[in-house]
Amino acid sequence: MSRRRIPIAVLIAGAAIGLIAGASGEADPPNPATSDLITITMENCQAKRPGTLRNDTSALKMIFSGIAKEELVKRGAVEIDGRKYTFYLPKANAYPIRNDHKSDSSLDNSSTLISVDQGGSGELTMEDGWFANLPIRLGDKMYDVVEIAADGARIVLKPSPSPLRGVIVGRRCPPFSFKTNDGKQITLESLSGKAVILDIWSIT
Amino acid sequence: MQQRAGTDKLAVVLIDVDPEYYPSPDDYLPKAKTILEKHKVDWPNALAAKGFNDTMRAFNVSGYGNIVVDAVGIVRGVNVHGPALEDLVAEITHTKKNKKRAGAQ
Repeated sequence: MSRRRIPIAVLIAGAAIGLIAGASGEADPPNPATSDLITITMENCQAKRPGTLRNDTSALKMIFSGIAKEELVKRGAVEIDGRKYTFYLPKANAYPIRNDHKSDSSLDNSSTLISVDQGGSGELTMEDGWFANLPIRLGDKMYDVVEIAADGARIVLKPSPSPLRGVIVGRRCPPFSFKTNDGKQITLESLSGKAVILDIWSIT
Repeated sequence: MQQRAGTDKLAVVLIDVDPEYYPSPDDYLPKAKTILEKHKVDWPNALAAKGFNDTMRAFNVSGYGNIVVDAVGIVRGVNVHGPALEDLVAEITHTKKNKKRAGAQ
């Protein structure tokens, strides 16, 4: 079997064309699997947010000492559709993006609680905490957390197919559907045309 | 507050997280009914089957409190209480404006 020999001039010309194509940005087509990823570079910061109940201990603390502040040590920003969103990570030894527990409620959820300043005001409220295992709402779009670097230096997001979730003042209420105790279905649509107060309660 | 605004302008919906925390509806529904009757309210009591897990997934809220939505579906407040809630409801149901107009005439 004889090897086909390529003249050296052809190799040099080919390399030159490759360099020119690379320089003009025509080298590789974007990878569809990664082209929609959004990487947020996080840097050290010192900030605080009113704490979210994370477990029974923090519930007790809140009863006796009022709402604690959650310490935030990493900050990074991203601009989407012309709007800036600032992300914060809490002080933690690890930043898991999965919830190992049964419920996603803040009392059980073991994934990282990411704080997001949606309005650019610099003021964070208790409602600005988003667990990493659930889609995060930015404006009227949803994003999944794909990765948080072990040292918190990076958060990677990806557009999510999830329906809209999460309330943000000044933004559309996400759709909801609950059955009442007399068997009727209550949805946001069924209340259309009226102002609504949704009151979350229990007999305890 | 609902009487002032009118039931045609303001709906109050309770979202009851009890189902997750009691074995049977018989353990919480009678008590819920008693509480609502005591406060003389006939608001629909929507049942969150998985408790705060449901409210977290829908609203990103997992605690007691409220969400105020205006007539076109925009969230206008979260955990607003007392006079601030009254002012907000008056604003979004135009109750205050009507009163002012009535006073000016």
